[in-house]
Amino acid sequence: MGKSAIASATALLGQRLGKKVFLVSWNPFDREARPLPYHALGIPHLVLNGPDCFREYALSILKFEKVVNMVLDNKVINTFLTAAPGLTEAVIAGKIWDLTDKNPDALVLVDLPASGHAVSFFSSPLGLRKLFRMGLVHREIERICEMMLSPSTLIQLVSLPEELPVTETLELKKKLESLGTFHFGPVFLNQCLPLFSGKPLSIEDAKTKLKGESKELFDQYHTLLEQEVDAMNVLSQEGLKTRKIPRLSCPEWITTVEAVSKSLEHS
Amino acid sequence: MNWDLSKRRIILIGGPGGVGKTTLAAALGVSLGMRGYRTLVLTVDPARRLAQALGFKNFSQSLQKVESADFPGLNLTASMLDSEHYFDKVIERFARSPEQKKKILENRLYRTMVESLGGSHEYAAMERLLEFVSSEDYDKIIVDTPPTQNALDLLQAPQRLANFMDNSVLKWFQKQSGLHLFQRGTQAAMKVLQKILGSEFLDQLASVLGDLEGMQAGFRSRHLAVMELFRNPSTAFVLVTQASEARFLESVEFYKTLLTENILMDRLILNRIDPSFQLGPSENIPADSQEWLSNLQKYFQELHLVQQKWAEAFQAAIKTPAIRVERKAALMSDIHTLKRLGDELIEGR
Repeated sequence: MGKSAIASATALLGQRLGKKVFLVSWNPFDREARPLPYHALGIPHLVLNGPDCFREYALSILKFEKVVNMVLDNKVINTFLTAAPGLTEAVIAGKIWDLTDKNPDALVLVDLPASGHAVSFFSSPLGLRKLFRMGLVHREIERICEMMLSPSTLIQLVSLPEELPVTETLELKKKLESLGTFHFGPVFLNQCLPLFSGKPLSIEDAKTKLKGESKELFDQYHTLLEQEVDAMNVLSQEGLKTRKIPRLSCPEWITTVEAVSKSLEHS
Repeated sequence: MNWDLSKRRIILIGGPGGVGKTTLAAALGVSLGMRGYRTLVLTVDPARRLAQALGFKNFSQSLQKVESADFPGLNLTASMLDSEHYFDKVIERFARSPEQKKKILENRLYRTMVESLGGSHEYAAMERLLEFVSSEDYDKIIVDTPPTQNALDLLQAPQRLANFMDNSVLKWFQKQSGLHLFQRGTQAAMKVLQKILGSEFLDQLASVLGDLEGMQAGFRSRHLAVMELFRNPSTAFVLVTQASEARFLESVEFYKTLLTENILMDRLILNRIDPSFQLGPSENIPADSQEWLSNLQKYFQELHLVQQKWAEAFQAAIKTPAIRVERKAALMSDIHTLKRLGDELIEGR
């Protein structure tokens, strides 16, 4: 869907507008991070994984690194922590909370995983909150849930101008709404057609005056345009505003991000 | 180039989000189903998109036969996975007694686990796949997997759950009666863990893990069965992606992971490559529309050239036969279009 490119483009825009910006990627199980050239953006980029976030959380409680190492370097405990239900998502969300708490004026952009799995980022802390009514875990989880549901946290859904992704976006929103009262921004409809200079040809003219590959070119354009209009109508019927992001022919990821960032500024 | 699937029984379709995996899985299903194979398409993507691609308005979680008046010979069944209910069935399968089953299913933490444990979708999917494999009702089973990063979860989720239920961890949690079994270092570390997570959290876990006693061997053996299935020559792993730098980098990582796991990638599908067009003669088009048309042609040509460049980079880095699929100017929720696409994948253009 281009979530990472849009998150990065928004971060670039934020920086241009004078904001302190953090770009956060979500990597729960400490696999090798997505190898995109984030360094070229010149924005602080954090890759959060479960083990590191848990280590930081443990250090904040135990204070002594030696004690933390004794716990986390233990094979049995490591095995348990990797698989304990909801714990990974909760400690990562806790780290994001910490980041926003320490930098109240900063813009923190979190690039979440694809739809079905993004839900667990929100549902894990909310599920744990229901389970623990008191104690240390309760206090931590409560802070995380407050952050997630605060008006200063915006969920920015990204979709494509096609039937299946639009349905998926609506399902994701519905699922999230069933978990809590989140705040949503307009849907970024990625990979739309850009505007071309000159006067667009009418369908009638295209039918009568174009032949061969010229006609095929127009048909391709027209089908994509119709899909875009359909997608926007469906989202609009569900009360969702959309922001179109053009599909660009940039050769590299970084140039795409820069161009999308500029288009966001002008939209 | 033809894609010989006669010796493959399971076709795992993996790749990042938004590249058209679901559509390709459905297309392949329709095409194989029309070639006389008893075909099943199983979606493990938590987003329920396959139903749409196959033209269902309502898609039940169980099996649903795909019917088409235009293709009476079509032998295709689709199945949607509901991980919440399916996980209950897994517990039922491994529970040693009705009492154990009841206790687990009513446990509050278990319910939260099922709702929020990321890996449970994948685990339940692999369980379902193993069931279909052993039933022998199908000649071809196509699995539409979650996006790339989560496709790795597909391989690793059963392992994580098996680890979670590791014997040594379980023993400690069973009211700590097994504490003496550990080395002194682990005993001390466990006590500190109690301080970090709080006793309530650990008590809840102790309760659910205690209830799961005796089931760990079942979970572990299923994990081994899944890995064996993935490495079996009758299983084809197919990576679907798009020809761009972002997709290139993550696909190469994914390919390397498969190599490390000794899983063969059967095909690389570079989907939705934009066609380029040459402007032909046109009559009486106003000059400003000529400019517009020329810009439109230039745009598609540039897209095409960039994608060709990345397609070549893909084929140089990933030593697997590749199929390039052109972006179609038609809706893919129509079964005729799906069949054409499926035929194109198998027979080549």
